[in-house]
Amino acid sequence: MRILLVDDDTSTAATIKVALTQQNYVVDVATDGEVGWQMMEAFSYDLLLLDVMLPKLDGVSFCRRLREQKKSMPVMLLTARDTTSDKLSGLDSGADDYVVKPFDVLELTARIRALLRRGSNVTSPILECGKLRLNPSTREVTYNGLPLHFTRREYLLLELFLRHPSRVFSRSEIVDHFWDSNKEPPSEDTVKSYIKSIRRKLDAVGAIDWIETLYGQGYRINQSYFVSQEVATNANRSPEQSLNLTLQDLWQKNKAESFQRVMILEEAIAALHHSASETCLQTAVHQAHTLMGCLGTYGFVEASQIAEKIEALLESEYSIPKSTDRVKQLLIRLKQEIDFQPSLASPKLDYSEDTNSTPVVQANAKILLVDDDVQILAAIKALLQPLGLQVAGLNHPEQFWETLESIHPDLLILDLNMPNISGLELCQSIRSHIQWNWLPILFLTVQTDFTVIQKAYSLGADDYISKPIISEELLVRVLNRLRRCHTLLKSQPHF
Amino acid sequence: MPKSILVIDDDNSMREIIQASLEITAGLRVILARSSDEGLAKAAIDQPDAILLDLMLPQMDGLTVLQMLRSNPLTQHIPIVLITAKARSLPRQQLAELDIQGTIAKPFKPAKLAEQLQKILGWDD
Repeated sequence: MRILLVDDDTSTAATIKVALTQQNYVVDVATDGEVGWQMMEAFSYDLLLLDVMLPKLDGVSFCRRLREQKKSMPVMLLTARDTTSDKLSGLDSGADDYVVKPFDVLELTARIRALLRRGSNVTSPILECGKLRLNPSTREVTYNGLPLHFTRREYLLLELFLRHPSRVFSRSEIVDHFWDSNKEPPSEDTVKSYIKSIRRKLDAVGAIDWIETLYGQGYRINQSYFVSQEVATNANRSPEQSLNLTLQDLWQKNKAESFQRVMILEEAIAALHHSASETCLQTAVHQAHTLMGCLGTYGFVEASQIAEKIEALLESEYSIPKSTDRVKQLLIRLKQEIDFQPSLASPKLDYSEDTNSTPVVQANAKILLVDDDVQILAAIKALLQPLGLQVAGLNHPEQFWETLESIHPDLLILDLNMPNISGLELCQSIRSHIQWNWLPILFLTVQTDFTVIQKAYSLGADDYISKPIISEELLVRVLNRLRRCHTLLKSQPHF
Repeated sequence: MPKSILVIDDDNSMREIIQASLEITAGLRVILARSSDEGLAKAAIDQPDAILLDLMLPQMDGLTVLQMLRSNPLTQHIPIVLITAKARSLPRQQLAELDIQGTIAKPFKPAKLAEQLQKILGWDD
């Protein structure tokens, strides 16, 4: 996904760009409305982020002009203004959303995801009402961070209420939503019993009367919970509140990993019981150590202390047989503390370290990297090689053509400003070379002047990154470029 | 431009907690590295304002990473804060000999991490 950010405040722009780049978006920045407009016309963007107060062409006029020209990409306005009339004029100009500065970067990125989803018809993520949170992708429900368990129909009913927080559902409407029309519909008492069961589970965690009954009409979320949600999701949420919510989300997202660590620890301890393997011992110590730090930071103080004790026992006196039982007892307590769910932990057959998924690119794609700075060459090589890419570095551009012939790369990363040869000239020569004119070229440049960048594109560059380089951005752009080349190659007819 | 911190830690959860803490409570820019090699590369490329380095990394221990950061001209100037478990904290004498700004103990309180870090780095003025 490619996003154009138009903001004359370079500090805000840099912050947003970094946050979005880390989420795998490709972000281009323009610092005035006219340049932004030129870039919008020159490239294809999935979303525009426009500051309202822009030099040369303000955000609202930009947006209005865009819609007059029937361009339909999503637009989000960013502004320091927080009055109703400003919001209305922004939205009336055709913007899809509006964020007031100072804003929480996480909120901004979430809204961007929502806008992009709207464009792609993908359903929305976490639904919440006050302390109740429902994650439709994992089907997990929590109240104030505590996991709640519902039957399938109870869960669906809860989701229905959360998706329509103010709507009253009669029993017959609920029946229409959940029961197959070809089958005998349940009695209204069945609906009543589901409502009763949901209420009982929510009452138990403190959400008293979460579903209210409107006599003669039906059921809906008790509006006092809905109001507290409005307050909580307001942009004025304190950083501490935002952090607490984020930590709850992170635990829900990552707890399977911690459960997996517990399981690996358990397996290693069982193996140690039979033979004193140094590898198993190291694995167990490492898992206990990681659990100690991670669980304690999530707020599981007891569990963290137990993991610390396990680590200490393993390191100091594991050879004493009685400590095996002691470690096992501690493990049982640790599992209780974190509400261990074996179904979420998939044990690994080996004890190797977990790695995050590596982006899939064509196997052994070759990259030629031309930069006169050898330290930068070494660092970029180290960044790209773990992805399975073959990277050749060249710090003497005068040897470019012979290196090109011997490496035969799939992608060229080229420094724009080198001492003896201009990257632009090199790019031009490549584009006029019959054998190499297809080679994708990504420029690294200290230039931020749009005319230079435009010139690079006009001479045949495929992409550019301004120095100082942000490694995440470099990775995204390189992988995107390689994927695109791979797709193009695959789509070419075979003769 | 907000200050940037490179976090080198092999634990996925820990990296994400640190990122959320520093971004939300202090607006810092966080760059993540899940291995020593990735950390060394990103330190040289991104030129962060500081590095938060886990002492117990699986492939290469934190002290070796520290030495490599100090021997590379692109990274030798970057302030480093070690993140260590209390029980594994190095003796005071050894810490004093290391070219680091300070240490932070695991587990930590996420809401206080940024404050702690900024104090160590002298960014709290």
